Amino acid sequence: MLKYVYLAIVAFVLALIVVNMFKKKKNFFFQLDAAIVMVTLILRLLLVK
Amino acid sequence: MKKIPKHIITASILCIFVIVAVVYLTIVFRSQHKEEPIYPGPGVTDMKMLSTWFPALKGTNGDTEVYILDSGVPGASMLVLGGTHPNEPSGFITAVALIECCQPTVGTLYVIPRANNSAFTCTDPQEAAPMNFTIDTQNGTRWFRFGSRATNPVDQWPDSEVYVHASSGQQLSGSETRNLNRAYPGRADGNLTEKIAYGITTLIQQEDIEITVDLHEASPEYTTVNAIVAHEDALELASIALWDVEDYMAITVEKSPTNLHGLTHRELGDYTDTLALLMETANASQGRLHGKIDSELVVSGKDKYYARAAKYGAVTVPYDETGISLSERCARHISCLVQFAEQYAFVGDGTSISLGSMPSYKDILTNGIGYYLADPQ
Repeated sequence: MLKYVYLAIVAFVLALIVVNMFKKKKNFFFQLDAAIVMVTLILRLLLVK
Repeated sequence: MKKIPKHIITASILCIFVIVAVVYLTIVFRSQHKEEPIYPGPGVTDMKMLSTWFPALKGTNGDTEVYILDSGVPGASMLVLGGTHPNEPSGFITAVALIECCQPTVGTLYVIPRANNSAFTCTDPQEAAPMNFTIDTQNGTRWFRFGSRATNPVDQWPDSEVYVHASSGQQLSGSETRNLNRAYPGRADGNLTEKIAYGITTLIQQEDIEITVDLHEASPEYTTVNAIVAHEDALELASIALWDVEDYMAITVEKSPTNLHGLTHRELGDYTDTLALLMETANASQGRLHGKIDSELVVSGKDKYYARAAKYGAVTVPYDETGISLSERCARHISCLVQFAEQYAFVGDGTSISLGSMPSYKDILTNGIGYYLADPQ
């Protein structure tokens, strides 16, 4: 059960980052930061290790 | 036509970058689940999965191969555990060498090369450890997995803050929850690591294994290293074996602490009739003093920082620029295993076991452990 709570939290944070990344008034380095964080979150969401 | 905002374009490009990175990293991570080939030698008469003794392991990453080398001559049985900690490669390579070149002449040898199979599929976080290492054989080069001390968190998660050993109530750090050598005798309804331990304990009970040897490595600054740790029932066997091997290697026998639970040398001795032993060799790729960890360090055991630390008296074993090679570490394991088998006739129930003509300590040091492994096929 805890695993699915964890995955739900990861998915929620990931969704927020994607939405935020496409918002206006964000400079490129903010977007680059977001992209790098997205890589790790997607790997965790897919339980790839 | 409405112009697409610049930040949408950059975000879209970065999303493509993310997808490419995820695909690449997934391929890299998943490659850790590929097992290196082991080529059973003429001594292997059967291979079963651990789930044969504990069916609940079937289909999990905890299920693992058990190689059986039956001489055909009635006698005692010995179980060798390699890969309890897959970041301690001499135990694993010694087990592979037994499978590929040992031909017992009396009794039966059981070998589990990947005792914690799940831990072979990942490395320890923040250690920058290599995913594999290579050994040259007579006519080729073999690769072997370098894994983690603990079960892959993908297979068992989360760790509790405090790990409570089930049968004793002993409390340890939560990270030990996934340590196979803190899980014995195991639990049928426990977590995956406890189930693996339970499977191995059940195998020992059902097959009436007389001797069990768990092969490990430790950092050169650790206090229990170059040592045989023996349950009190196995102290006599360890001591007699020592008489022979200490002629050519520095090694000690230590009694298993009665208040340190979950380890093979304690719990297998308490919960089964086996003579439980554990061996430790010095591995420079462990500990906190080494430089870069790579295949070369794992195999050669040479590390200039450990050599320097030794000059300051900061390590507990003889160590210099020549290092302590994987061949030497395997030679120690193999020599002691041969002696445990040979000397059992003097301490056991009248039965005996012989591993046949295994290479000597000197032979392995001269030719390298790769000489005794099969060529890649």
